[in-house]
Order: sequence, then structure tokens, then C-alpha cells
Amino acid sequence: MGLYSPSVMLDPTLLLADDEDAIRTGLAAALSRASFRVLEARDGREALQMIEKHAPDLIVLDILMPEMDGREVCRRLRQAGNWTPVIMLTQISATGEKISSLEEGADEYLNKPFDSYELIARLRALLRRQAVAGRPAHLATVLTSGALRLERETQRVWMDKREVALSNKAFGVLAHLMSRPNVVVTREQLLDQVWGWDDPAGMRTVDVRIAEIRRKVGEDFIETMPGEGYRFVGAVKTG
Amino acid sequence: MSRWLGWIGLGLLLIGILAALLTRLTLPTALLQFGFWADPAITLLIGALALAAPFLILAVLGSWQTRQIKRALTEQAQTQETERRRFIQRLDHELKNPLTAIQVQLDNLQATDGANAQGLIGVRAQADRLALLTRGLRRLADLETRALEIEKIEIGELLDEVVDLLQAPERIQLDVQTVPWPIPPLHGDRELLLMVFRNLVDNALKYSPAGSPVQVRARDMSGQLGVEIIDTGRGILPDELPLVKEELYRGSNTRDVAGSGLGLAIVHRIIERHGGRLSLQSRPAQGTIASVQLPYGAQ
Repeated sequence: MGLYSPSVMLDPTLLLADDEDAIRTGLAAALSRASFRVLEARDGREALQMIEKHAPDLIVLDILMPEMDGREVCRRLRQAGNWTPVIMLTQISATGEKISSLEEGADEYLNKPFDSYELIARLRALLRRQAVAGRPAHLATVLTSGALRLERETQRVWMDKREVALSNKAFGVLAHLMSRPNVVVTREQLLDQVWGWDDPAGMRTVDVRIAEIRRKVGEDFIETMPGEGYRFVGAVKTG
Repeated sequence: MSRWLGWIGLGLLLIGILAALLTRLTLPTALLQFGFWADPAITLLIGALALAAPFLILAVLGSWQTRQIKRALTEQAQTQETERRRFIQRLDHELKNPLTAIQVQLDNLQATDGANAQGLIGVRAQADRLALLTRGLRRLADLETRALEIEKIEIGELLDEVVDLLQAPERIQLDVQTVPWPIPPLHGDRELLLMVFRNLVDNALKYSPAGSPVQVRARDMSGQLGVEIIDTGRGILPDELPLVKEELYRGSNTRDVAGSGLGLAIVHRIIERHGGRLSLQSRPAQGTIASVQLPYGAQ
């Protein structure tokens, strides 16, 4: 079967960059079994070159790599207007780290250690997301919906031109939901992406932050989907 | 030691001054005609000064030295503490990559090698244990750097939430003071304090017989919040009581119960960061009382 056979063409191409041979080769095998065409890079510089050459559909970057780290690779891609989905292999923990992660523009974060099924599930979810040209909403720096305005980089929120003080976690929840308007997000997903702790404080912790957001910006923006999770209601403009 | 030397020196000086005064007041003035140096009062004063001087000098030198030693010891303790924390962070970091490799390769083996399925499940369980440990280590490292997010907390609500989160809520007897006055609100990091109480109540449930009650009492204690978690479980051995708050220490009578040995260390650190105190009282085979004291914090 040649490279141009339709079945191969349909398989998504993925660039995997990690300097640890054992992780990279192990993941490459698992991802190939899950029908991804895997390109491997050993450091950040090699990753950038291969992305330019092969234009993969998805990118998986380790943070700590020789030559150029994963953050820098991602930053350079975004600066060059390349919005290919990126999963960064790191830990989301301290708030400071998360803010800088947002600035570098990765789509998702996955804590080490993880198993390959987790990574594959995330990659498939990213692929399902509707492909849009340009910067996707979840990476936009400013989001507005009616009277509500959210600035991601400075972590500030305005309602009717008046600034609203939200706790870090409430901001994270609002930003996450607002970036995916009309999409139902489960509590587990919020815990995973906003809290980042693998053994989080529990589902009610999310509800407490949702209550805080509703108290401070009004009831209209976030809808509870019983038994499912939450979703942001309304059109969101980016810019 | 140097304090005693100081007192002796000062005593001698005082005696000299008194003796000189007495001499001056009692001796006939005729004797004074011989001049300044022949004045017995002056002689007495100089004598006393000469006697007291070595004591005073030793006292000053001694106290200076003690202070130096104390300072060196505090500095050493601080360096050790920083080193220890840095070590824990590095440990987390160094475990993460090999563990990811192990888990990923295990996935591959389980997907392709049916013959060793049973053995692989065993290996997987051990890898999961290590993963749990790195999560704990990361959390501890995280606690050192992350800023507390302070908000107003009603302790009753927080404890209700803890009960909801646990496996056996029917075993927990919650008793939050409401009379003669309610407990004032607490100002602290909600999620971290939730973790504190969840860990402590979870420990109480884990280390006591199935079905036995665990009491959780919250009281306003002279300007501080006091929460006691009381179980009738196996208890902590007396000589291990000071050690169980340390990282990775597990009581010798707990080997049969799963745990990372980091829970209490995390709890302790969070309470410390809130300016509070954690104390443990325990009797083997009778039970344990874990007491948390927390200042209510900024109004």
C-alpha cells in the first residue's frame, strides 16, 4: 500500500516530541495502533522543522526538551499563525504556571504520569472539534458575550463595563465554558482542565465556583444541564 | 552560664560601690587630705571594678557566643528545611518520566501480549501505587509555591461537603456549635481546607473498624476555630506520634491499609500555612483525636 491509498490518507498525522526515548517510542506504538500516523521528534528544534515540513493534524509536546522546550515551540507556532491543536505534556498546578500556559497557546494539558488511552481520548476529542481557520475561541485572548467581557491574559472580567472580582478558579471555569459556547462541559472535565489536580476536591467544588460566577455576573450565562454538566449560553465574540 | 557570670560581676560592682559610699560617709574627713589615690573609697571602688571586670567581660563574650550559635542553628534548620523541600520536588520530577514510560509500555504490552495478562495486571497495580505517590509529592511541592486564595468560609458548610465526599457518610457524627453563639466565618483557602478535613476524617474512617462512628466537632475556642476528629480505631503508637506528620512516614500498625504516607504531611503543611496548629492525641487500640486549630483570619 502506497502513501496515497485512501485509508492511509484518512488517518490523522500526529507529531510527537519527547526527548525520553522510552516514552516516545512507547507512545508512538500505542498511537499507531490507534490509527494515527506518528512522526517523532527528539527535541524542540527538530519538532519545529518537522511541523513545517509535514503539517501534522495534531501536535504532542513535552515541556522539558533539549535545544528548545515545548513552550517555546508552541509560542513560535502561534506567533507564526499556526493553530494546529497542541497537547502539552505537563502538570497544571500552580496558578502562575497555568497563566503562562495560556499565553503559550496550547489547547490541552496532560499531567505526567498518564496512560496512553488518556492521551488517545484527548487527541480524538481535539480532532472532533470543528476545524476553524485562524485562532480558535479557546485560545483567544479576549472573549465577549453581550455585556460580559473576559480578558484571559490579565485574568479580568467586566460586566456592563464594571470590573467583577472573581476567584482564580471561578475565572478558570468561566473562561473554559465561555471558550466553548453552547457545548456541554462535564464537572469532571472542568476539574481536570481548571483544577488540574488528579484527585480533586470533588464535584461540589465545581458547583461552588459556578454559584460564585452566577452571583457575580448574573444567572443568564451558565446553564446547568442536569446529570451532564454546564454550558455557556449565548454567542461569544473573540478578539 | 554567661547570665550567672554577669550577675556575679554586677554583684561585686554593687558591693564595691556600697562599701565605698559607706567608707566615705563614716571615715573622718582628715584622712582625705592625703589625696585622691589615698582615698580608701576610691581604692575600694577600683578594687571592686577590677574584681568584677573579668566576670562582666566573660558574661558579654559568653552571651555573644550563645547568640551566634543560636543564629547558626536556626540558619542550619532553615537550610535543611529548604533542602528537604527541594529534594521532594526533585523526587517528584525524577519519578514522573520513568513512570510515564512504564505506564505507556504496560499499555502496549497489555494490548499485544495476552499470555502474560495476569502478571501485567500485578505490575499495573504497582505502577498505579507509584503514580499515587508522585501525585502526593507534586501536591506537597505545589503547596510550597502556590499562593493561598483566601475567602470567607462557613465551617459548617465546609464540613457538610466533606461528609458528602466520603465513602461512609452514615458513620460520621457532625456536631457544629450553634449556641450560645454560632462559629464566626473563617477566612482561608477553601479548597485546601476542604482537603485538610477530608483527609483527617478519611483517616479516622480508614483506621477504625467498619461501622464504628467518627465524631467531628467544631467549636469556637477563645478567638480560634477548633475542630476535633475523633475515632475509636487502632490508634497511633506513642513513639510514632511525633513522626506521622512527616513525609512518607507510615505507622508500623498501618501496613494493611493502602496509603501514600503523605496525607498527614499535606494536612500539616496546609494548616501551618494558615497559621494554625494540628495536634494528635492517641492511645493504641482505643482511638485518636486529631485537633485542628485555625485563626479566623482577616475580617
